[in-house]
Amino acid sequence: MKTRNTFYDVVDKRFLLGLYRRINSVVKDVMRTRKGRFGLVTIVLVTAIAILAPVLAPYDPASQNLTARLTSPNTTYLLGTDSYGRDILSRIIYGFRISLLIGVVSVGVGVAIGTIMGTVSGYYGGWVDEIIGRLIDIMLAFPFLLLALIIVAVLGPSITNMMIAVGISAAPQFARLARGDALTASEKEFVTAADSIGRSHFSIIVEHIIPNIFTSVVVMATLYMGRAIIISAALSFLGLGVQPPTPSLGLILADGRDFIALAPWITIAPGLAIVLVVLGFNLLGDALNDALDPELQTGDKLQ
Amino acid sequence: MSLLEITDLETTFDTQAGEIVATDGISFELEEGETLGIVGESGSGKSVTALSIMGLIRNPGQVKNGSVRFRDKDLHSLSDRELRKLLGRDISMVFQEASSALNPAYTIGHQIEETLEVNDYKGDPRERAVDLLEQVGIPSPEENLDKYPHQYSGGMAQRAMIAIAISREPQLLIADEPTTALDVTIQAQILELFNDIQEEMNMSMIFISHDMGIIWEVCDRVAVMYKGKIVEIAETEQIFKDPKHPYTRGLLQCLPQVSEQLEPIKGTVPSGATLPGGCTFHPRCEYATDACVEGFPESARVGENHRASCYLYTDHDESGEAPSGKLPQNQNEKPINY
Repeated sequence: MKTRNTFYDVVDKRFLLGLYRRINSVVKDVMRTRKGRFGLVTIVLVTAIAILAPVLAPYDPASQNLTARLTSPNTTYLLGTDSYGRDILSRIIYGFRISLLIGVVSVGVGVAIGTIMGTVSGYYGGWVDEIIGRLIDIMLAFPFLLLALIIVAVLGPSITNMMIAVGISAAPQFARLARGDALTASEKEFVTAADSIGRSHFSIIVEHIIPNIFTSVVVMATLYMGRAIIISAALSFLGLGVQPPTPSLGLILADGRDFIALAPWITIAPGLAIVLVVLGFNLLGDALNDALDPELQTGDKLQ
Repeated sequence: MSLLEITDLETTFDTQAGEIVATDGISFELEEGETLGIVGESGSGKSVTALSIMGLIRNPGQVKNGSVRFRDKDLHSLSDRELRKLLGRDISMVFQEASSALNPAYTIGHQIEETLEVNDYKGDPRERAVDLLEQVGIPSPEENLDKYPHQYSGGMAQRAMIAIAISREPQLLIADEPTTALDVTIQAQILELFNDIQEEMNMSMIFISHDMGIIWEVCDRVAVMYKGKIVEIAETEQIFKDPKHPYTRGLLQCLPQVSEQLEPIKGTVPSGATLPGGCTFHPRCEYATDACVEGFPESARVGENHRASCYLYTDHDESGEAPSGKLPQNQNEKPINY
C-alpha cells in the first residue's frame, strides 16, 4: 500500500522541482527591494566568510603575538590586536563561523520544538491545546535572555548547552506562532476536505497544516537568527556561552571591555560585526515576509 | 435496502452560550442512484447534517444520538481507521468554496493523486488524474494538472474538486452548496456536470442548497430543513406543485419570477441559543396557533411519499388520504403578527 505518510514520499521529484521554482521566485522578489538586497547580500557574504574562514583569515585566531599586544589597526593587523596580541580580524572572521553556527543550531532547535508543540496544539485543540497552551504561556512569561540564562546555569556553561538553551528559549515564540497558524489552517475547508477523503491526522498535519504555516515560520526563523546571535553574544559576554579561546563575537567584545579606553578597536570591530549580521538577518526576514505573503504573490490566472 | 439510512441523527455543539442543537432527530433514507436535496436557510443545519453523516464533526461538536447506516455498516460504530478507509472511496464530498477546499500549497494534480493514493488506487494515478480532469470538462488537462489552485478560475476549481470527489467512483456523493459561490452561467454548467456524472456513474447524491431553483434542476426528492429538523420531505415535483409546510411555501415564494412580487419569509432564523419553544418556525409563521407555541408537531403523512411536520396536517395523520390541509387560500385571512 502506498501512502504519502513518510517524509521521503512527500519529497518526490515534482515536489523538489516545485520547491526550486518557488525558491527561485522568492529570491527574485527579495532582490527586488533595497532591504532585501542588502539583507541577502550581507547574509550570503557573511556565510561565505564563515565557510572560507581558514582561507581568508590572515592569522590563526588563537595564536598570540605578545610583542604586538594592543596594537592599533595598521597594515600588518588590519583591525589591530587584543591584549594577548591576537589578530582581531582573524578572530572576527572565525567569530562569524561560531555565531552563524549558534544561530542556525539554536533557531533550528527552537523551530523544531516550537513548531511541533504549536501545530499539535492548534490542530487537535481541546485539552491538548489547554495543556500545551499553558506551557507556552509559562515559558513566555520569562524574558528570552533570562530563560536562556536559567537553562545555561542549570546545564552548565558550554557552547552546546548554550545552543540548546537559546533554542528552548525561542521555542515558545515559535510554538505560539505555529499554534495560531495551525488553528487557522485546521479550520480551512481543505482540511475538512482532506478529512473527507480519509486522510489520517498525521498526514493531514504533515501535508496540509505544516506547509501552510511554513512561510511564517521561515520568516520568524530568519528574524530569530539575529536575536539568537545577540543572545548568544550576550551569554558569551557573561562567560556562560562560548569558552575561550574559541573566538566568538560576544567573547571578543568581552575581552575588549577592560581596554575600552586604551584600545577601543577591540570592542568596536566585533560590535559592528554583530550589528552587521543581525541587521542582515532582520532585513532579510522583513523582505522574506513581503515575498512570501501569498496575498502579494503574482500568478497568471486562467480563464 | 436503501443505500443510506439515517435515523434520529442529533448533533450538538458545546458553546459558551450553552449547548446548541444543530440537527435535531433527523431521519431519512436514500436509494441507490437517487438524488436527495436538502434545502433551508443559513443555520438550518444542512452542512452539519452532511458532516455528521461522514463522521467529520469536530470539537466542540459531537453526534449525540442516532445512527447512520451505509449499506450494511453503521458508520458511527466504525473505528476512526475503518471510517477513513470508507471516506473518499465509497463516500465523498464536494464543498462550497473550491478556493478554500483546495490546498493552496499543492498543484491540482498532486491533490487528485493524493486522493487516489490514499485510497489504494492500483493504476497510474497521473493518467487517471488526466482522465478525471477531462471528465469534468477542464481543457488541456495535462497542462492544467500542474497548476496551483490560485491559477484556476472559480468554476474550474469547482470542477477540479468534483474530479477529486469522484476519483474513486463513490457510491454516495455529498455536495454542500457546490454552486453557491459561482455566477449563474457557471452554476448552470456545474449543475449539468453533476447530472451527467450521476447518470454515468449511477451514484447517489445528497445535494445541499438554499436555492429551490437549483434543487429543481438536480434532485429527485427534497428534504426541507428548518432549525435542525426536517419539516417536509417529498418528491421534487410534489414539493413544487403542492408544498404543504408554510416554510416550504415561503421558500418557494422566494424564488424570483419575472413580473411577480417576491414574498420574503418574515423575520430571521433564530440563533441556536435562543430557540423558540414549540414549533421553531411559529414566530415567523402566518398560520401559527396556540398549539404551535406549545409543542412540535410529529411528522405526518400528507400524500404519497410526502410527509410534513405541521399542525395544519396532524389531524389527517396516516389516514392514507391526502388532506387538503387547513391552509387558508386567502393569505390575509389569518395573519399573526409577532
